[in-house]
Amino acid sequence: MRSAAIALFLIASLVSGSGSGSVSANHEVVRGVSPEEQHLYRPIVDEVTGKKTWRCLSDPTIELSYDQINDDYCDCPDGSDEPGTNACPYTISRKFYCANKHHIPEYIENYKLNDGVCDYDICCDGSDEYLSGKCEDKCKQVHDQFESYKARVTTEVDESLKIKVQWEETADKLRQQAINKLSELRATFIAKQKQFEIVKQTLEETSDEENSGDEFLLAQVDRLNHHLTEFQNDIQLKDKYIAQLEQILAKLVDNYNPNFNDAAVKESVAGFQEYITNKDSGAGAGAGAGIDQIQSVADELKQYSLQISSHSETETPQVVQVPTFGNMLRHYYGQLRDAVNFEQNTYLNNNDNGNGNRNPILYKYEKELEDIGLEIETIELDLEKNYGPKDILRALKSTWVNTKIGDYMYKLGFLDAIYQGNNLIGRFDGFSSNQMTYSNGAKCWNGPSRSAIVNLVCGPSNGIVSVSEPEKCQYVFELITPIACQPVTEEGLLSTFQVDLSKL
Amino acid sequence: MKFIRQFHIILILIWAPTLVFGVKESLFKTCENSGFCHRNKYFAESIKNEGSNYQSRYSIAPESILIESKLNTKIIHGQIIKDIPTLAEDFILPFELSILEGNNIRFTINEEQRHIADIKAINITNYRYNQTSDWAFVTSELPYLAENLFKVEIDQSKSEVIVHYGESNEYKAILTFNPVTLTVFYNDIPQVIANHQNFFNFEHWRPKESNYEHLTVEETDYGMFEDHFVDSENDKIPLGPESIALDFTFKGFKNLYGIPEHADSLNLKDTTDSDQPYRLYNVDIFEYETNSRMAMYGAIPLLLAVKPEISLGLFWINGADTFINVDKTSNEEDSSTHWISENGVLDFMIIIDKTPANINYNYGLITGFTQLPPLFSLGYHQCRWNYNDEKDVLDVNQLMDKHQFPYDTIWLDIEYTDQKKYFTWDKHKFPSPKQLLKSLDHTGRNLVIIIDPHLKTNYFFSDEVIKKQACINDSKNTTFYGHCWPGESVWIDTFNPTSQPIWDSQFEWNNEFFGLDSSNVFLWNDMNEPSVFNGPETSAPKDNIHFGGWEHRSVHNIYGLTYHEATYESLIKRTKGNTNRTRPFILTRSYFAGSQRTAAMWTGDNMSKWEYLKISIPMVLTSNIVNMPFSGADVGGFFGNPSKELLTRWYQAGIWYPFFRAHAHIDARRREPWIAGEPYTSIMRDAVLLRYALLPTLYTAFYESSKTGIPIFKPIFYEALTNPKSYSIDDEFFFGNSGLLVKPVTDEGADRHEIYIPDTEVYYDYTNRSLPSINVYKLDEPGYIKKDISLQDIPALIKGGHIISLKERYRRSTRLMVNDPYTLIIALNNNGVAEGQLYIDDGESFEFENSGELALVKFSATESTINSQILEINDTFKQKISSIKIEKIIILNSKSNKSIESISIKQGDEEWQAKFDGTVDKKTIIHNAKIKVSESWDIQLIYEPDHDEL
Repeated sequence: MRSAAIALFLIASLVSGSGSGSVSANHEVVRGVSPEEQHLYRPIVDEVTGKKTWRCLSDPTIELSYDQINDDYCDCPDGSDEPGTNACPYTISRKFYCANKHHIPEYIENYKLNDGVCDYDICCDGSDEYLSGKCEDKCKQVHDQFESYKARVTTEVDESLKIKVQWEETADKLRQQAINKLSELRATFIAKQKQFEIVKQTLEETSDEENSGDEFLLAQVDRLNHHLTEFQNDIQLKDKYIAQLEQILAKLVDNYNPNFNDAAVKESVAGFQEYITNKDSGAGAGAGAGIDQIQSVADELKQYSLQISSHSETETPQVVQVPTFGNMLRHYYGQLRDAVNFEQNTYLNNNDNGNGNRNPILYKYEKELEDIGLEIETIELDLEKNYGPKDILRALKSTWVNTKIGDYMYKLGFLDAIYQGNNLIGRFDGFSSNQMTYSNGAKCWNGPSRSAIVNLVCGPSNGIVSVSEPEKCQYVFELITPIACQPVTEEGLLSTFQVDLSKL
Repeated sequence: MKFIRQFHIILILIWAPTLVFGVKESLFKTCENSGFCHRNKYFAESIKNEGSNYQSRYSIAPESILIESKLNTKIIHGQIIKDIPTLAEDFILPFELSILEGNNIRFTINEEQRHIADIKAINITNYRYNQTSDWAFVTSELPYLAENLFKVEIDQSKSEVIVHYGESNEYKAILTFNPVTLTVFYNDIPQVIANHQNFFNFEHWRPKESNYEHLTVEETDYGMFEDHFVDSENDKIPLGPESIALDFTFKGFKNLYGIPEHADSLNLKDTTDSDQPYRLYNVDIFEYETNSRMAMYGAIPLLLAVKPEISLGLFWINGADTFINVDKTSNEEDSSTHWISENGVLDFMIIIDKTPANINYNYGLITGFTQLPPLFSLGYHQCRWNYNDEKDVLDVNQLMDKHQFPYDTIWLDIEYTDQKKYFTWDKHKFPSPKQLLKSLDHTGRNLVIIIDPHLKTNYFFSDEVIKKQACINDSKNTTFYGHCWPGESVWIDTFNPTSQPIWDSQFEWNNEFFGLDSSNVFLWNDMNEPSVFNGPETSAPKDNIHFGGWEHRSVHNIYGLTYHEATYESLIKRTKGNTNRTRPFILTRSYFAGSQRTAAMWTGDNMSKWEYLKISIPMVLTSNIVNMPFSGADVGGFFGNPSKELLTRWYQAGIWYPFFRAHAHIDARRREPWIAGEPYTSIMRDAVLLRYALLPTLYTAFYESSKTGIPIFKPIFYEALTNPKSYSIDDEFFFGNSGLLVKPVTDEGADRHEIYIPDTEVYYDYTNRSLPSINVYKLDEPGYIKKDISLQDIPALIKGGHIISLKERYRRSTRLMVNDPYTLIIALNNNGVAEGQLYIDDGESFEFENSGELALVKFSATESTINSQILEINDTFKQKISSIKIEKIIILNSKSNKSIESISIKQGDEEWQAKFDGTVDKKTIIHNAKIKVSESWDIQLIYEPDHDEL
């Protein structure tokens, strides 16, 4: 890499040297053309008259007098006769060559020639302003800047890469741990399952006491229904109040005078609009839906308990696959609890320890199996997830980056979510090279759900550098992190290097 | 049964419009619920009903006439007597009749007894406000016409005064005593009669208690001492009724224009059957409706009446709430207008001349011409509410280059401030304004920041303004507190001379807020109607009090002007002696007659809908014909999200607005022109590049307007006065005096386009800058031409007879184009001739005024010669531009049927043969002409001998 650059320097110095050291000895250097392409601008010399001509590069049928090259008038349709002026419309394939002796040769757009701007970021030698000569050669300074940039970046990247490697190792360990854990769990599950079946068989042979609890359970179900009705009435009443309140506020939203910008009114209006938006798209199961759900569960439960009680009188219980009555009750109760979210205060715990009247040993086994199954499932899912190359994000699973920018504290959890204060901007959504996306944040009034793109930039530690909201509720973060670091290359350095014009 | 049902349907149809607009209209007053308008409308109705039986209560006392010689002129004084039958006392209304430069006749009526009346409201001045002209006129010394240029006769029978004026006495004004009328004649033909309909009304002062004694039968007392409008019922109207009203009959005129600002057609509509007369009352009108006569952000009370031989301007010099009823239907030949203002002196000026352009000139002599803007401000302005922080600004700046859009200015709306406190920055988002300005300056870019007149309470600047008593006061004459963007705010009173040094102090050179020594920062003055969120009609209460004890109602429409003028003065002081970039740029939303001297305007908060693109053209045209040419509409529409097609079409139209800015609301999606993607981005780029290519032409148009008041966005009828069919064309326009005729596409999905050609001159197609010479139009009579169009087409024609200057090479900003060569397009007319002007100066300083550093070049062409004459240049400037060339000349000749043999160019002592493309389809191109623009030159075209002659 380095030697190539040096080779370029040599060529460059050849061309921009006093002007006499041209590539071809028999004609002058054509301004704006690199040494490699000078040969394209050799004149055609008429042997008789000695008149020099030249043909447009992509249309050789057009022959020009040789002095039409760089005469500040566009003659060739492809613009090739004006490599050193801005006379022809700019095309990406025809740029002006800046030798940039002491730095690295570059090509600049022709519309930047002689416009009074020293475009040192491209032409550090100032050759883009050759007419006025107002831009002195700053290639030494630029090159110094580049060298110190290179040194700084190289050190920084080296350090960062060390951290990155550590994280990769940690990630690898964590992955291994997960895999180990998974195989352990699988073994345990199989063992437990065997034990469970043995115990169950034993129990089934000895026991038919279950029916004794049925009547009690039916009574409980009745109570439950009663409570439900009360609960339902209660909710319906509250719903009515909420509807009234919403109606009042909706009227305000429709009829308030937007021109009289009363801050409090505007805030209430915006707040209500946000509330309405989120309400519709929110939990799905509003109070109304919940009640219906509870009602249907309760009805089902009652139906079922009746069936079971009549059933159990005539027939002996079947084997393994049929869920026991207690089990069912527990299941429905669980559903009820979820739907209503009663927390600890249940309608069933008066004189009941939660597992009905069923055999505590069997229950324990079932519970354990279920738990292990869940754990296995979680680990399996986790192992399938995209944690980036070498699973590196695994090492940052519970890492949060907190940065205060402007008026807000931003909290970014790598695999978790981003918050602006307490406002959810989005949940982790995916990772692709040097970018993470977060989506499904809190919804904006009149707009989409909040979301974010996090651009990753190489740096020695995690930190949010900037946040912007180019459009309402769509955020763009810039996060420095060792994750984004790659070994330094000369090309990479050149493409990221920015000349600090203020220091020239 | 059937009939009844139909009846219902009709009712619904009639009421539908009211229902649609209901919500917003309820926020603003109508003539009906404005006391003063209501009363005058009632008064006019009464007089109409009385018909010829009506005996006017107003007459001029013959013995009061006095001709005063002063200031080398003559002023006619006299008294109008208002006689109330029930009262012994007469009311005296002294008047003045004078002639100003430009043969403008001015008539002013005041009220004698008002100022001696016992008025209990001690905080306010009881005179009628008479300083409107001080703000509107270009100088405080009135430009009176010299005494020897006119003569005054008093009729033998003492029943009228006659004034003869004009170079060849072509003007005559007759003031009759009873009834009081003023008729102005041009070439002995009456053109306008004031008070022809006897609607003259002058509500004299009376105590509330005895009001009934002062009322005549023609009058109603509606709202004389109380405001019936729900949002302003606190207005105690301490001075009682003080309205003024007068009618004007325009003889033989049916086409009336001007009196902006309204989102309506160019040619004024008849309002006799509508409850919506044109209203002038500067308001922050949220999501305004199109095709409406409702009040908007600015007011210029200049009406233009046009007929083929004669044009007439009526300048109603009043800054109070004003309604204008336009009647085009009552009389077959004439039209009339009824002007009703809430208070102030009655003051108007009548301008008559041959053409509307002359009216613009004569009116400009009085109120001033547009400032020649800094060249950058004619480039492309990129705005959004908001570019969020420094990085955002610099990203957009860089992306413009990446996508090769030339642009000159990026804008910061209110969010850049620390909590909407003007003269502060949000330090987190904008930590280093100076560095930001420097980065922009590197490629010639400028920053425009917003500073509004509402000042958040409790910070250093508002504290100072309050302490120095430079705020607008409430009706108790203590500081007025209201609500605007920052929450509780006070308003700087720029009528108060105290406010100027306070304002200046924030603009000082080396003030950190303006980036220390930065010279690329400019101003946006918004919300200066003033917008008061909790005030009546979203503005200040009318009984607020300004400096001098004047009620807000007396000065409302002038406030915006005083505010942006204060900013202008501060900017002048800031840059003077510190930088070469001394020409200020200020954009204002509110404006008044005279605003053109110091500011540009835009049409406020429009919407991203096709109808707003469409209406922007008559709106900008109207602004141009009332001498406020530096105007434009927000490209893309402020509220909402334009479709890609609408955005593209808006760019294609927007490049022709004298002021070209893209802007968007904070809730709108990003819409910088590269976001739409292809093919839209390239099409929008082509449009912006065309704007930049035409900058020499546009700048020349501004130069001409700054000298003559000629519109830059010019109605078709200005060039086709003999063709009355052109009088209502308001969807196309001429671009200054360049001969470019443009009709933007303003319909969704349009694939056919009709352009009205108003005369039989030859027109060359200039759609998309290509000059396909097969499309040369020459109609036998004025009419429409039809074109197929696609999305990339910007339909434009060049009228024969003109020479246009361009700079065709892309640069990143205007400053970087300075040394680029010119291209000339010569469009020969039916007679084979053409001419044009080119104005050049440094584009940023006042050296063109101070030391004549400018070049004014005149080009003329015939079929066989082209030449350039330097009309004006000085040596310094000649040296400065000596390297600038004319590189290409395109000659369009509709009649050409001969081949050119050779073309020779002569400049100074040198003569050379030009390279050229022979005439192909009426077009000849001279290549690499190598002509210096700073010196005169001649070109000879030698044609091959006609073979047929052999």
